[in-house]
Amino acid sequence: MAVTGTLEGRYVDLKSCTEDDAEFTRDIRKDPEFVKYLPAIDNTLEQQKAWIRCQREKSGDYFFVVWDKEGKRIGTISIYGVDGDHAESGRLAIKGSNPFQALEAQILAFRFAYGALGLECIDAFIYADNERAIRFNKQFAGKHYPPETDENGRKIIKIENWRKDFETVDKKLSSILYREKKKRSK
Amino acid sequence: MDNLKKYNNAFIETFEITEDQLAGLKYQDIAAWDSVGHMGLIAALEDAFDIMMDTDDIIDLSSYEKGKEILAKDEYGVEF
Repeated sequence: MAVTGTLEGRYVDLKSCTEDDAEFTRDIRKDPEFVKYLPAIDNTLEQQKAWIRCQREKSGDYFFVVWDKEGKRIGTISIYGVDGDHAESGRLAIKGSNPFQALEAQILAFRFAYGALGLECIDAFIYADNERAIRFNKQFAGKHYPPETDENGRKIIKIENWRKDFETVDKKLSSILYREKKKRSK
Repeated sequence: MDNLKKYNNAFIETFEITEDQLAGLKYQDIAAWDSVGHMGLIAALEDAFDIMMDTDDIIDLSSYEKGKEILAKDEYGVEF
């Protein structure tokens, strides 16, 4: 489902994916950094455009392209499978040039989910050997469940991110991401 | 403990590396220095030197050597 306008941050912006993003969204999923942990996309450019057209109409499915402040696409992030006050997050693939971009992209997505969509809990499913993604998610104070084996025999971890917990994390991370003044205490 | 030792320890303890890995070390050179590790490094440096870093400096701290330059600025006053 397409969102009108931009979710604007200081380091990145999130914009609903359009057909113009088809090539980028295909290419990033083939990047060696992500291909091991995200389902592979094996389609043509036209098929990817068709998928995006469907996605933009699909209820409860929000797929954003992450843009840096120089107007360059740097990744994707998604909230989907909205069911009541629950949803899933995923399609997270960001190649940021500074350490705040991925963090802010996730913050903007959660703010959208808990604020605009009024959700209470967002689940994430991450392969147990994807240590980088697990470390990233731990910053958001989600509840991590023990690994379970999926239908392909891979260990996968479920993480529940609750709105109430995120509000605390949002304040903490924002205090670092949006500092204004230098202060020397000694 | 002198400032260089404190500075080195922040990297060594945050990223669980050894001192001989410090020279030339850059952001994303090692798995531990990702966006999460970076936040941990900043917390360790702020704690070690009792400072609060500006966001631009946090972003600019892209290597072991660059970090020393930043902390040596007047705002932070760390002498190496």
